[in-house]
Amino acid sequence: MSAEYIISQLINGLRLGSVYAIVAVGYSIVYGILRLINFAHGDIMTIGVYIMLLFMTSTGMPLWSVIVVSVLVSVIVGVLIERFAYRPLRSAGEEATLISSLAVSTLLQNLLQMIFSPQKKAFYLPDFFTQQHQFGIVKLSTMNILTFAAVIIMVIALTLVVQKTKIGTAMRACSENLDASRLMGIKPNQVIVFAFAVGSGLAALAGLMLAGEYKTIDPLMGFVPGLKAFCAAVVGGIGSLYGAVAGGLVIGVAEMLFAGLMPTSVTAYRDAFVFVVLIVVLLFWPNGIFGRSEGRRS
Amino acid sequence: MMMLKVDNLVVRYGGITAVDGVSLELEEHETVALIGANGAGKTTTLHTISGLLKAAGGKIFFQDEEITKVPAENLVARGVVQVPEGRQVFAKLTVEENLRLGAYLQKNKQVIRANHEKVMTLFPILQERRRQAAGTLSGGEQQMLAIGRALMSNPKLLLLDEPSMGLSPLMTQQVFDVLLELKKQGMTILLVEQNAYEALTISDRAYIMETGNITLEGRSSELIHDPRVKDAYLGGDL
Amino acid sequence: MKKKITKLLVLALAGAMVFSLAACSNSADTNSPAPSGTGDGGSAAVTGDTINVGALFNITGGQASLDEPGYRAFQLYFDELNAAGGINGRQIKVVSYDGKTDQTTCATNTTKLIDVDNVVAIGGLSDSNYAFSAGNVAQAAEVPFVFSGATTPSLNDIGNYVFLTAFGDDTCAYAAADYVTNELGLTKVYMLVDQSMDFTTTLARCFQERLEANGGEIVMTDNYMNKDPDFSAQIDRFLNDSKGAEILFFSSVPDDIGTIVKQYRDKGVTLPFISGDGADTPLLMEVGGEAAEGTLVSTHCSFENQDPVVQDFVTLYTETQGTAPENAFAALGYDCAHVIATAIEMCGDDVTPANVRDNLEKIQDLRCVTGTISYTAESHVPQKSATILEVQDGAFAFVAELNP
Repeated sequence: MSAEYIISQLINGLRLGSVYAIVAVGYSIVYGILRLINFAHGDIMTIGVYIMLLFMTSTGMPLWSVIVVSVLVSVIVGVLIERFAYRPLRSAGEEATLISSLAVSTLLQNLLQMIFSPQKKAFYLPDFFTQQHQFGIVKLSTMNILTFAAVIIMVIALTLVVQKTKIGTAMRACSENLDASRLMGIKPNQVIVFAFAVGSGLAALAGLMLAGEYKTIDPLMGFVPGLKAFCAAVVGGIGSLYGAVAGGLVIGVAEMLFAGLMPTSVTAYRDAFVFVVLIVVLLFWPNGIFGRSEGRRS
Repeated sequence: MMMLKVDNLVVRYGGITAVDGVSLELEEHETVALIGANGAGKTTTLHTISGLLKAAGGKIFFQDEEITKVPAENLVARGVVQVPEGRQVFAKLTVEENLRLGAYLQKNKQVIRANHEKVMTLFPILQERRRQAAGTLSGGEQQMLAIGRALMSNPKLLLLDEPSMGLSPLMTQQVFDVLLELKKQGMTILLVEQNAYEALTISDRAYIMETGNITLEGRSSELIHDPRVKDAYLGGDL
Repeated sequence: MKKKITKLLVLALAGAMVFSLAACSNSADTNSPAPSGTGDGGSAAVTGDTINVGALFNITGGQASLDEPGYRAFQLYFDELNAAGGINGRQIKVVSYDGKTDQTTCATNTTKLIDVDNVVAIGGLSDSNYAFSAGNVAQAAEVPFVFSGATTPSLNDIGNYVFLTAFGDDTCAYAAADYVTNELGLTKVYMLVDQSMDFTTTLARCFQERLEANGGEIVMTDNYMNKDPDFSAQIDRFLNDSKGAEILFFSSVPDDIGTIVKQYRDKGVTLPFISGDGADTPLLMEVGGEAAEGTLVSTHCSFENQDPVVQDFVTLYTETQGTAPENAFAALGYDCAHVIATAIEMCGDDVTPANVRDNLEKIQDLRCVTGTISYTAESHVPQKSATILEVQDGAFAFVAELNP
C-alpha cells in the first residue's frame, strides 16, 4: 500500500468529512439552543440540491447565482419548518419535537419524490470543478479544494459571528441558559430562527458538495449523510461548533479509511462502521470529544 | 407614582397552585422585601411578574400599564429587570460579554458606556475580571456580575431573587451593601429573600409569604420586631 | 453520564431504523393501486364474461425504470387481446398494484390480489428481491405468479406455482463472460458487486464461474451496497493498483449503474465496462451521460433484431405508448402477459389458478419477443439466448446474440 494511495483515501475522507462537518454544525447550533435533534436537517440538503438542479436546467442563470438562490430557498424552508413544525410543539417537550422532526423528514422526502420523481437524476457541474490537480503526490480536484476552503471559511466566519456579533453572543447565551437570556431582553425566537437559517444555508452548500462529487441526486440522498453528520456532531460533542467540525472530519476520515484500507469483503458495511465509531467514542467520551457536561438549565 | 401593582395573582404548575391570590404594591424609589420559607411561592411570584411564567389569574401592572401577559424578553425594554436566583450568569461567556448582554436592547452607545462605568464603579472587582469566563468567578463575584448585568439595561424596577443564597456571611454583607447603595441612588427594588433579617434591615416595607399567600405585611422597621416574624423567620439570626 | 450515552444511542438507532425504512420504502402509503389500476376487486376471478389477472410491478422507487415499461407492455398485451375478442370469448380484466420497490408492499399487494381481487394468475416484477417476497405469498395461496423480469435461478425453488419469463442470471452472466473472453479476447476482469441484492450477488458468482471456466480470471473484486452514492474509495483502490485488469464488470441494479459509470470515468478509468441486465435501463444514459458511452450490457433482447415478432412488438409499443420500448423489460412484460394468456387459453372453460398453473407447465416453444419459452416440471426457468448491447450515441445498439 503506497503513501500516495493512503493520501488519496485520506483526501476522500477529508472531503466527505468536510461535508459532514458543515451539516453537523447545523445540527449542533440548533441542538445547543433547543436541545432538539432536527432529523429533517439532512433533507434540507436535498432540497438545496434540487433547487440548484431546477435552476441550472431551466434557466441560463450563472452557477454562482443558482447557488445563492438555492441557499436562500433552503434558509426559507428551514425557517418555515421551525415556525410550523417545531415552535408550536416547543412547550410539549423535547420528545415531541424530535418526533415532529422525523415526520418533517419523511414529508420532505415524499414531497420531493412527488415533485421530481423518485428516480435518480444526473447532476453535473461544469468540468472546471472535476479537474484534477497534482501537488507532489497529492491529487486534488477543484471541488476538493473548494470544499476544504468552504470549511475553513465557515469556521472563521462562524467564529467571528459567534464571538463578535450581538446575535452570536445572544446565541451562546441562549444555548447556555434560555431563561436568563430572556431576562436580558433576548428574544429566543429570533435567535432560534437565526440558528435554523444558518444551519439550513450551510446544509444547502453541503448538498452542493455531495451532489457535485456524486454526479447524481435523488430525493432520499440527504438522509443518510444527515444521520452521519448527526453522529459527527455527537462524536465531537453536540452543541460545540469546533466539536461538530472535528467530529465531521473524524467520521469522514474514519469512514473512508475503513472503505479504502480494509479488505473488500467488509468495506460494503461502511455505514454500519460509522455507527460503531459513534458507540466507541461515546464509551470513552460520553459527552463527545469536545463536549463538556450539560450546563444547568432552569 | 405606583411602580408595580400585583392584584390577586394566581399561578399554577400543572394541578398545583403555587401562588394563590397574592397582591402587592411598590411605590417608586421604594425597596420592598418579599420574605418567606422555601416553597412559599416567592420565586414563582417573581417569575410571573418578570414574565417567565404565565399567570392563571389576577393582574400585574407596571407604571399603571397592564403587563400580565407580556413575556420576559419584552419587559426588559420597559425597565423591569430580574436578577435571577442562583445568579445564572453565562458561565462560558466572559464578564465583559455578560455585561454587554445586559445592555442587549440598548442601542445608544453612550448610554451603554455610562452604565458600564457606573457598574464598574459599583463593582471594581469586575473591572479586574473583565476578560475572565464568568464561570471562574467566586459565588459573591458572580452575584455582583448578575446585579451589574441587570443594571446595564437601565432598569426602573429591579427584581432580585435570593441574592444572598449560597454566599458566605461576608459576601452576603457586601451584596446587601450594594443594594443599600442602589436604594440610596433611588432604585426601586423588589427583593425576595429567605434571609429575613438582612432583608428587613434594608427594605422600607415587607410582605411575608406562606404557602402561596401573603400572611403579613407592613413597615420593615415594625415587622422586624413583630413576634410572629421573630418566631418564624428571625429565630436563629438574632 | 450513563443515561446520556443510552439516550444518544437510542436516538442514533432510532434514526438508523427510520433510515432503513426510508431506504426500502419510497412512500408510506402501501395500498393505492397503480396509476392506471383497476383495483376495485371483490368479484370472483371468473365472473361470467371476465377473468381477473393480477399485475404487480414496482411503478415507483428504484425499480421503476424497469417495471414501469414492463407494466405498460403487460397491460398493452391484454388490451390488444381484449380488443380482438379476449380468450375463448371472455374478456381479461387486469387488476394492478404498485409494489413501490418495497418487499413488504409487494407481499401485501400479492395477498390483496389473491384474496380481494380473486385473480387466476399474477404477472410482474423485474427484481428477485421483490419476486421472492411476492412469490412466496402466491405459492402459499396456490396462485401462479409469472415473474416478468426477475432472473435469479433459485426463484424456481419457491415452488411449483412460480414461473420466470426471463432467462436465469446464469444465462445473462455466462453470456457476458463468454463475450469478454471469446469475442473481446480479454481475460483479466475487475468486478464491482452490490452486496445487498440476490440478483447482483448471483450474477457476480455466475460471471466468475464462467469466466474462470473460459480461462479468464477475476483480478480484483470490490463491493458496495445498493444506493451508496460514493464510489471514491473503490475507484482510488482500483486506480492505485488495477492488477492488470482489462475490463470492469459491474454487478449492479438500475438506480446505481449510471452513478457508477459516471464516477469511474470522471476519476480517469478508461477501460471498457460491462454489466448485466440491471444496466438495461435508460438511467444508464440519463445519469451516466457521456460516461455511459461504450458500456456493454448483457440482456434479454435487442429491438434491432429483425425477427417479425420483435419488430411487431416495437411497432405496437411505439404507436400506443408514444415512445420506443425503453429497454428489454418492456418486452419481458409483454411476454409475461403472453405466457399467462396462453395458459389461460389452454384451460378452456375451467379457468382456475390450479388449472392455469398446470397449463403453464405445459407451455412448449412459445415464440415470444425475448426468445422461445418452454417450461418443464423441474424447471420454470426458460432457456433462452442472451443479447449483448452497447451504448452508442446515448442509445442501446445490438452487438451480439449468444447462446451460452
